Amino acid sequence: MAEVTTPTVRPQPAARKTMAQRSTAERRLFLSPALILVGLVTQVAFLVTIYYSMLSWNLVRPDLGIHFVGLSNYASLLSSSAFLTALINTIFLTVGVLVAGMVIGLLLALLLNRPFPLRPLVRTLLITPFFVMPVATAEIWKNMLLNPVYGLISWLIQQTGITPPDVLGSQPLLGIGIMLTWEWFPFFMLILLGGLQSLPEDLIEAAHIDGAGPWAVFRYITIPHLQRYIAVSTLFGLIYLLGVFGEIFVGTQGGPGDASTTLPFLIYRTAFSNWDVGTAAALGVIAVLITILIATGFNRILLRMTGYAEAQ
Amino acid sequence: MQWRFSHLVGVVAAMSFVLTGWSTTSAAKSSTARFAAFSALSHPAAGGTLPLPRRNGVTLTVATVNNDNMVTMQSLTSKFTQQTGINVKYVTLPEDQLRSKVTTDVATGAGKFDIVTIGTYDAPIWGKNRWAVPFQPLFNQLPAATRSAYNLSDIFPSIRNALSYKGQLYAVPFYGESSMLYYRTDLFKANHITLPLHPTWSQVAAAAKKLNSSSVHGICLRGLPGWGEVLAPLDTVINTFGGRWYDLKWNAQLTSPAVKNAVNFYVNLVRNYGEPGASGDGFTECETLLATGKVAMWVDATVAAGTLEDPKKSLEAGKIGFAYAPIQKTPKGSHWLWAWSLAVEGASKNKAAAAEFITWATSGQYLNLVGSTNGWVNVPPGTRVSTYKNGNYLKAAGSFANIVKASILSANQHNATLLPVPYVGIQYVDIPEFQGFGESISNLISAAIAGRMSVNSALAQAQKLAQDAAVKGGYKKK
Amino acid sequence: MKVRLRLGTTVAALVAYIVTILIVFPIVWMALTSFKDEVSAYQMPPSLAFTPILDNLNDALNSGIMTYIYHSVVAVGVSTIVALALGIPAAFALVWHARKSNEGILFWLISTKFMPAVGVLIPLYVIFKDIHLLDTLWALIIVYAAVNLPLVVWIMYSFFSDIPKDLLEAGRVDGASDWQVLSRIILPISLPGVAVAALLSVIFSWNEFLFAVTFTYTSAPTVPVFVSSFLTSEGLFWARMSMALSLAIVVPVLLGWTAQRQLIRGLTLGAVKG
Repeated sequence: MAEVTTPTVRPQPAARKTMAQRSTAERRLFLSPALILVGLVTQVAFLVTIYYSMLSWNLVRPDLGIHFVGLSNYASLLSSSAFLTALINTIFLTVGVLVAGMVIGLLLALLLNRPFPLRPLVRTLLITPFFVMPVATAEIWKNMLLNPVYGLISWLIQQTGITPPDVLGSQPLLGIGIMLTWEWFPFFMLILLGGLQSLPEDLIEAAHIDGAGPWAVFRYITIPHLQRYIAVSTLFGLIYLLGVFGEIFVGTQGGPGDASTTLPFLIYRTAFSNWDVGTAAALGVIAVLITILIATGFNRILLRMTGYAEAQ
Repeated sequence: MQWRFSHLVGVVAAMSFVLTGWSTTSAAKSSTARFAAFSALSHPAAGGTLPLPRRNGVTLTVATVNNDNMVTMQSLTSKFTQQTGINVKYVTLPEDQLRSKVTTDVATGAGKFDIVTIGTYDAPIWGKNRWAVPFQPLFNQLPAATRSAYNLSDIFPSIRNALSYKGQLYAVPFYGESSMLYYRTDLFKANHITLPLHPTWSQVAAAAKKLNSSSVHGICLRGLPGWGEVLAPLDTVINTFGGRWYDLKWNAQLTSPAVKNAVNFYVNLVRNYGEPGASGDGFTECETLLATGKVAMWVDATVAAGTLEDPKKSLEAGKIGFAYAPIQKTPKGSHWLWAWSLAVEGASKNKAAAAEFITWATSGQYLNLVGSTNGWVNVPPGTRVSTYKNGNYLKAAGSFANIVKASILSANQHNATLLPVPYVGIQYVDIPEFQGFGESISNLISAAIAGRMSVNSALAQAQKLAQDAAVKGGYKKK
Repeated sequence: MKVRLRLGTTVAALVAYIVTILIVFPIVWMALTSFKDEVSAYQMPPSLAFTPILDNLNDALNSGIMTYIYHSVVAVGVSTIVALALGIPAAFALVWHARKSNEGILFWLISTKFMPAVGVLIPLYVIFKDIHLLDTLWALIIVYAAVNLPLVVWIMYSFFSDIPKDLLEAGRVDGASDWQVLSRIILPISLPGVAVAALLSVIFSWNEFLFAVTFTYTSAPTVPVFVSSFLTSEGLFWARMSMALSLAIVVPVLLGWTAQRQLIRGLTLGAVKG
């Protein structure tokens, strides 16, 4: 495209004001419907949730009535061991799946970055777990694969003479983590693949000419380039993984005991098992606060990364 | 550089938002499972069609669980519509999702169901909360011919009792069950084991020990978390070992010697001679294991009998023996009682029509209809006395019909423990809070079965939960 | 040099094939089980050779799955169209009239996703009950549109940000209205972005379970509700369950396969080298 030199025209003060005003008006017009819809649905729901969080309301005890109790739901939550356990489980699970998914995703992205026969087909098949319903994922893994008596993986292990472990019973968080990693690695893989494919070839060639080996190239060129991609995929991966529910609901029901109960599952149990609407709402609010903390923290890191990249 | 970055951010956001949506999935999870196996043929003399008044233009919404009996009911509903002009629409869900949905519906006042399928646990609570309408007044509005042909007193008294609150019947049973012992007759023979018709748990444990091997495990017992899963059989063991959940003053008794004995027994039995991975096994899993010859014994719901004897569904058909649920110190509470029943929701705008449908679906004539249309195998079991007098049924149900009938008739929710208790219920404590703390406690027991914590530790925590619930719910007076 | 290259490629290919088979196997296994009868479904050792039966498929089709599919198509289709119709102009406005508040708005949009769906289930249920939208497709349409809008805005924002500045400036100088710039110039070249946003919205809404089960009764249940009703927790059901799940994932998986080309194109749109 040929360069177009736009002559700098100094608009008259009156005209400049009109243009800016028009710009704001148009922006508002285009933005409003979207923001209003999202705002109405989510913020109203959130406000109602905050209100419920300050009530003592048991759905199955209408005889006890509904009472306003201020922040006492929050107080009892923060001192409950169930909440603490759920919080710890959530963090462990999230970080674990994040790391595992990232590592596997990176390895597979590196693999897919080099041409070999049937590569498009392989890539298509590899991202499939990403689109499978979490219910389906959990049912498949729980019943058909991991079940110590008639699961396929257990049967294979049995053939080697070892007693198959009861993964979901003895290491439930690990079992859920395996399911989630299987579901999520395509996400990281695709992002990192995009990153790898945007790596300038001449940079690598220059490094080779300078005598750098493959490991040095990887360490000093590839990884820094991928930093942004890793950071961004981590941020969004975090936001989702913190809210994982379906796999635990089907896979372990939060058990045995509290071993695989995460915050979302605890919310579900509080709302639909204990029928304690108030405490469940309080849990929801706390979950939002925690996510805000993490996301804001991450945003700062992201910004610094962007700045870093710009400096380059 | 930056535009590529924001671009990437955008698509990453997109992909993660997609998966955010998937965090909202929930799934079918079994609680108490009842699989319609055999069924009773009602008295042939109970006569052709139940006379029912016509009400054109009415549509009923029914909430129901998804098991074979209900599926059959849905497939035969056209007959009801033909006869009465009433249309019926169904909402079908797995048990715990269904309970969530109907409870949310009625407790928030949405009231979009006319008829709800509830269990013996739910009925008294619904009655107390006035979520369901007493059935008798609606029934009395039906024509005399209908009422006599229906014969309300033919329905098992123990079940009618369980579905009442303060003497009023709130729901009518669609089918009923108790629990019993299943075992492999061929394995017993090969190992020279015999058990009496009313075995004790000690005898059962000894047999399990003898039969246990790495290819066929001695016994299958539930260990799946859920107040309707592991707690159901466990509670019967607690009862028959002489234990109870609360004393008359609503003090929790979960660390009492009797309860400790019972729970230790159950957990050790399944850990030593039971199936591996028991903490993930509910009704369905154990049924699968017995049907595929992986375990030698099983104590669970009576409805499994038909499936186990059906060669299309079970590899061990013809090799299954039946006995009463084991007892120990007392026969009281040794076997449970459950009935899926239909109730008219309080907010329904079509109460009379709803009562008609319920009458139709729980009548002897309906059982006849199922028998003649779908075969005797598929008639809902365990509701009517006349069923068990029927020659055809007894021919089809073989050796277990009597056990089932006697078990249901002798299961008394108001007298299920050695020592007196302030609550009603055999395999549960019939208070609304039980769904909550019972669920948590079932999780602890499941953890103990998985070896993740000791029974004593589990019971100590359970004790606290049960005690707190009694206080918070206002049962235990300070 | 050439020999070494070929060897490396062969090794890479082999590793890729093995990994792929391992990863995809669970899904294939589930699909195969859908065509077995219950007894063979959980038999160990498993048999790859079996006589397939269509009973499960028949049951599924006879259970009225078409009505559920119809509801899903309407709810998903309309909500996606709404999300696109509102989200594209919004993203455009953010780029075209860039302000400092852009970052805040974008962050606020993600923040609406911080609350786990379970947390707002009862509040939303009560709200929809009060405005008489329970058991209507509208309830789902509104929720899905609101949940997908941030996604659409983020994708389109990044796609629009990619557009070379001179293209935008040309439109501005010509004195075209915002709407004309958007529809005549920007949109045609951003179609991959729109495709990605649309496809992902569709997949998310199609798979969405919790709201669907909670807000619908008999007039508006969608495919995930069908899956739930088709599963039974009482009795042997592995084969039936596999069939229900297989049917449920067909649409999203196929759409995902179609979308991934666009996704890759989108991600590497800037990567011109090599």
